[in-house]
Amino acid sequence: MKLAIAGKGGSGKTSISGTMARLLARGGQNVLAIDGDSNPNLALTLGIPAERMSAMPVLPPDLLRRTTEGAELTQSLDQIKASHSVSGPDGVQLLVMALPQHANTGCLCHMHATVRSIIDAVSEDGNDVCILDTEASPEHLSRGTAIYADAMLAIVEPYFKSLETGRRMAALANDLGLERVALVANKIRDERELEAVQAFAERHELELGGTVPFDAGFPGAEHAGLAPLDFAPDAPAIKAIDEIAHRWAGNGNGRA
Amino acid sequence: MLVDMRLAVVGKGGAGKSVIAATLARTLARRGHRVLALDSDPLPGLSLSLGADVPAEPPLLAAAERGENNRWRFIHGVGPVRAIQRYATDAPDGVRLLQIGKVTREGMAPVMAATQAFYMTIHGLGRAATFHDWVILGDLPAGPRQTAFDWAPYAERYVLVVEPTWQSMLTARRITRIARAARAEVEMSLVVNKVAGEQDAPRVADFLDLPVAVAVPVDEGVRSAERAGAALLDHAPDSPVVRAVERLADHLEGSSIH
Ligand SMILES: Nc1ncnc2c1ncn2[C@@H]1O[C@H](COP(=O)(O)OP(=O)(O)OP(=O)(O)O)[C@@H](O)[C@H]1O
Ligand SMILES: Nc1ncnc2c1ncn2[C@@H]1O[C@H](COP(=O)(O)OP(=O)(O)OP(=O)(O)O)[C@@H](O)[C@H]1O
Ligand SMILES: [Mg+2]
Ligand SMILES: [Mg+2]
Repeated sequence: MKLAIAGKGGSGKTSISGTMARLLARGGQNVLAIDGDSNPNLALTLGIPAERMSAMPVLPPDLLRRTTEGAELTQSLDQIKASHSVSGPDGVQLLVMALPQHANTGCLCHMHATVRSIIDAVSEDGNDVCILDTEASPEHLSRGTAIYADAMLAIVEPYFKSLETGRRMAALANDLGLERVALVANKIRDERELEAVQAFAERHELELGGTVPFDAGFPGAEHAGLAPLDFAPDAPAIKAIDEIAHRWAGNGNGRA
Repeated sequence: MLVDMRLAVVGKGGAGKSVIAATLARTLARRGHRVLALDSDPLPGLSLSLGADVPAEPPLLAAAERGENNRWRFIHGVGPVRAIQRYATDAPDGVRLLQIGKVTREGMAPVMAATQAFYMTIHGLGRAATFHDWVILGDLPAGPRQTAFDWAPYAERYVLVVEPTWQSMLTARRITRIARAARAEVEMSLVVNKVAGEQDAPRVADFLDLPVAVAVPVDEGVRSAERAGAALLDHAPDSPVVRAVERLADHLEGSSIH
């Protein structure tokens, strides 16, 4: 299962991506986490300490070669993982796209294309999971970076700016041809907030793929410099993310 | 008062850039400054925080066309100054708002002309005498990408909006380094947002090695304004965030009087 996680700035994409990746890996699946944000922070929510971040390898530009049909990877996925990934807790493997200062042109187009081909190369085997954390921008959709994902979850908070961003991203993902697209409500504090998201989803004919409560363990984890899963493993938000992870990317029921 | 305020508001996703940029723009306008707000985020944000009506299509769409070699150029009779005069829209308190193309269902392609016109406009602003005594205030999308690719060439000062979290602090450090590598003389004003404890602001200042311009508390009023889909200044004018932005305006005025 290949899952792209999108949404407005600060909606919780990276917290949810990192936690999902860890939980699925704990459950025995092979998890490849891709940090597709040009402001990469996924290592932190996976539980890789901040001190290691400055030495983090990023994908080099020579992994992709232009061909007459388009583009192809110059190495196998296993080679790429072996030479460019970082191993995180629970055996999650992390690939980091790039920082903008690594781009030698006016955009990160080439790196987006590299990530697109890597996602394509991940096997369809139910035991293999790929989770793509994205930037708070439409790039992954307008550039087609996420086109080979099976599904996209747009993380939304219960307020208009966030819902509206989720809606626009969901529309783009639908048009890219992703099989399943849904909103996931995050930081929900009460029934009224959940109802607001449900009503919005219904009005725009969008699936609500799950709900994660507001959980003080998440900001707490950030303060402590730990992954949410390590800081508060029994927190209600962790349980909710576990449920969403298995519903969307668990072995065998990824397409349920 | 002659001011020389050319600002770009930057920071991590969700740090509060748009809320602070919008409240600051209106606060400065109420103090008598002429304010041009530049919204360079292809996703909705600033206009909602300003409480401005947004046209369905970006007005700048009409400002650019493809010329020889398929290259983008302004339409005949339009340059950076005209583009602003003609295509900026009114926001509350007299703020003028110029928006980049906003993402549509078909992606960015349908609004490419507006994106290009926006880029050409901000790159032409430096030479434009017409706006020399205006406050120019850009709200950038999350992260360092636009800073790295020169989307705030007008900025003489970055307003760094930083939460007291690792992710937010690391992001601010990346942006600072990129901005300074491009232009060593650019100034930084540190706004620590969503402060909950006494140690929060000093911790961020220490990490970034910058003095705190203002510390902005976590405030229920902001959440309530967002839920209501209203601008903070209209919904909760007495909010502690509004007061903190007043102090930010003082700091910026103090740093820019000639
Ligand atoms: N369920 C939750 N309850 C409480 N806080 C949360 C929850 N989920 C995320 N957060 C907090 O929200 C903030 C933003 O989260 P995160 O960085 O994961 O968002 P993002 O969407 O990846 O942001 P960006 O747009 O910068 O990539 C963090 O401080 C995080 O701790
Ligand atoms: N001082 C504050 N207290 C409480 N909530 C705040 C505060 N400042 C901002 N917020 C909340 O943080 C969220 C993000 O705010 P905003 O949209 O302004 O951030 P942004 O940095 O512009 O995000 P993006 O990266 O998506 O452009 C909103 O829900 C807003 O209400
Ligand atoms: Mg993120
Ligand atoms: Mg914003």
